[in-house]
Amino acid sequence: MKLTDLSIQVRQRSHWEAIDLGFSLVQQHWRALIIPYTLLVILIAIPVWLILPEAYLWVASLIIWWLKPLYDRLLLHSLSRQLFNQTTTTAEAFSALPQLIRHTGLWSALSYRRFSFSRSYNLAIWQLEGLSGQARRKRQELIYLQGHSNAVWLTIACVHLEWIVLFSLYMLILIFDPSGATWEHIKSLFRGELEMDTQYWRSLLDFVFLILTILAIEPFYVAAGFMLYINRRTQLEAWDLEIAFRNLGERLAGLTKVNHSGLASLLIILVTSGLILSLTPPVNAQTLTKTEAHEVLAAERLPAEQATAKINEVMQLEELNSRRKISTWIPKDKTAKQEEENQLPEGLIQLVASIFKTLLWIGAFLAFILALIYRQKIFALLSPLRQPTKRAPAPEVLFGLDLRPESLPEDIAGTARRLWEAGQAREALSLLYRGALVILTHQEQLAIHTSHTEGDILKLAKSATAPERYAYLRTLTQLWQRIAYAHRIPETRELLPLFEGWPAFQTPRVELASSEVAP
Amino acid sequence: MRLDTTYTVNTPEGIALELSPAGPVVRTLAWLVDLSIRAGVSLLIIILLAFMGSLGIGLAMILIFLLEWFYPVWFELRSQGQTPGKRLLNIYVAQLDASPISPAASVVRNLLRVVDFLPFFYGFGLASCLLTKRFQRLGDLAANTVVLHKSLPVLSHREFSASPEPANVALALPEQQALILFAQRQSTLTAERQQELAILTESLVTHKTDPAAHLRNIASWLIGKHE
Repeated sequence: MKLTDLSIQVRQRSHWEAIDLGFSLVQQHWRALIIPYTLLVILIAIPVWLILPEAYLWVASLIIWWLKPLYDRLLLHSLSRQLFNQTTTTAEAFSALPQLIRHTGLWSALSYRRFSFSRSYNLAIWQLEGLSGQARRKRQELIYLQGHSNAVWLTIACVHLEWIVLFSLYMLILIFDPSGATWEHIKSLFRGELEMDTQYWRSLLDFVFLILTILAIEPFYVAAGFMLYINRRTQLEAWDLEIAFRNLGERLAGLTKVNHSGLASLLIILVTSGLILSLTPPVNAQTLTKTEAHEVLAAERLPAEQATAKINEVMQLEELNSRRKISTWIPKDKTAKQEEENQLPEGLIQLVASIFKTLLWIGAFLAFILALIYRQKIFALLSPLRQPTKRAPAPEVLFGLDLRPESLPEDIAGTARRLWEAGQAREALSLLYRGALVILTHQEQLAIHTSHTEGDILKLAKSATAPERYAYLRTLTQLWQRIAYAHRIPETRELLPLFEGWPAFQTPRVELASSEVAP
Repeated sequence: MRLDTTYTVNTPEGIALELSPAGPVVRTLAWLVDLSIRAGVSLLIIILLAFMGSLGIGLAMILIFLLEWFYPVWFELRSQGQTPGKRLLNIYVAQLDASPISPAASVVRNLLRVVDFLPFFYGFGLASCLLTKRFQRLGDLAANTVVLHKSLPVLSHREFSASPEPANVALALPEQQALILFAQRQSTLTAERQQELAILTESLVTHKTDPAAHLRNIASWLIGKHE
């Protein structure tokens, strides 16, 4: 095995890249691989198909699938030769077959190792390293330390790819088959129903599709596993370094030969350079040769001045001098800002601050005075919130009494007292009561309906008006009821408090409001 | 020219970028991860919206439609060409010249999934991947994109101790790199293998009692330690 003959680039790779390299390898060498491989599969498939009785044709597919490890060995044989640029002919591949069957653990691979998920990864240990028993197990443990999980995933992925290819073939037929027979066939595959007349041809179709699938995917699978193995070997044994060092060794061996023949010319150069150096300012000749030996420099070089000019010229190019405007958020520099503020004199800041402070206090005081002056307006602004917004319009007539404010005289108490003194007791009380009702409905916004009686109004007023007012209204109502329904005229002394209390009754709201504010 | 999966792009700055396209296996696995994420989210959407009756199912259908079609576009544009599955497997989508994927390209490559999906679960996509050198599916070919491995394996920057010593001849750049790599991989190689490799350099280590140690000394000099 000469590593310098490898047809692949040997370098440090990830395991996934190694798998991809396997796919590339098959793409590159598929012609050499496919012929012996296809021939082998067909040579097995035809006898199997012919021997089996018609009822057991599905076994043929199983056998072809089961024998995959055998094809793997032939594929790996071709691939391993291909890796070193040796093309194997079909005859050579087949002549290697008996040896591959006997010495590569095929029987275990076809029996209890058939379902191994790292089949393609460890195949090279069996086949190319030719190990067995304890040695193989130890070797496999070492190889498996890395890349094993990738090998397992490779198997899982390739199983998926096989299913994709197989069903794609069916679907292709399905797409181009207008009769619907393919669809029926696919359904029967899953139902297990058999139709004897076309069964033979359908089974043949299944068989051919399976073979095509195995032919398509298996080379990639084997090559990918093989490349995983090669990658692991490269890691373990530093194949990339071996190739590099071999090349280095060969180059150096060539150099020494040249040096021997060119020794004389080298001497001349040294002498002349020594002469030049003796004339020029002191430069250590030894360091010069040393740096020359270690620096890797191009053969053609510009003198230093020209090079500097050239570099300057390049640096002036637009590509190297383009400006871009970039907007980004950057955190504020807080310390800098504080310094800026501190530049104002301290006294000025204090002055401005005290001016604003005084203005604020004056403003607050003025607002307090204004609030005191306009307190009633302010309360009036607040009061609508307390009043019910929904309210029926005040009734104009209540139990035969005219309740329109226009129907009442200006001075209700005075008019009533005159009527009373004139002996018209009924009219006097009626006027007072009407006046009270008008005040209640229009001033107090009492929700009085036409259906309400005097007693109802009294009940409503109890919760809505002030206690003094309610007391006045109750006395008035009693007197009114007595004269209106019982026709009993009250005494003058009973009536007098009503006449005197009227102004208080008429305008209680101001007293109420001031009584609230005063304390 | 030795076979490798990589290809080189020269940037306008004169830098040669080595790009490593990701093959069908790693892409299939990434897709399976994304598929299970989408399936989980779809299931969650259906369960949550099923309580709203027919309206909920309708909404769920719309959301699942958007999820199916714009999940890759969203992630490719938002997180450097990586869907969660691709992130897990350390691969990303980029333009063929490794510049970030453009919105138009992302939409094209994801709308063409419907073509790649034919005839059954990415049958054409797989065929295209297996047949093209850079493992591109049809959507990638149309949008001029490629799925790349995130980074070539980082050469181990492991420290090594040696007494710096210059080499007795001038060394080319690849040779210097090989020597440094040799020193850095001291712990992963057996001592015997190290001596074996060191002797291959022939005249670099003639008359040395410990060739491997001498090569490490040279490597130490090469990385700039001159004391």
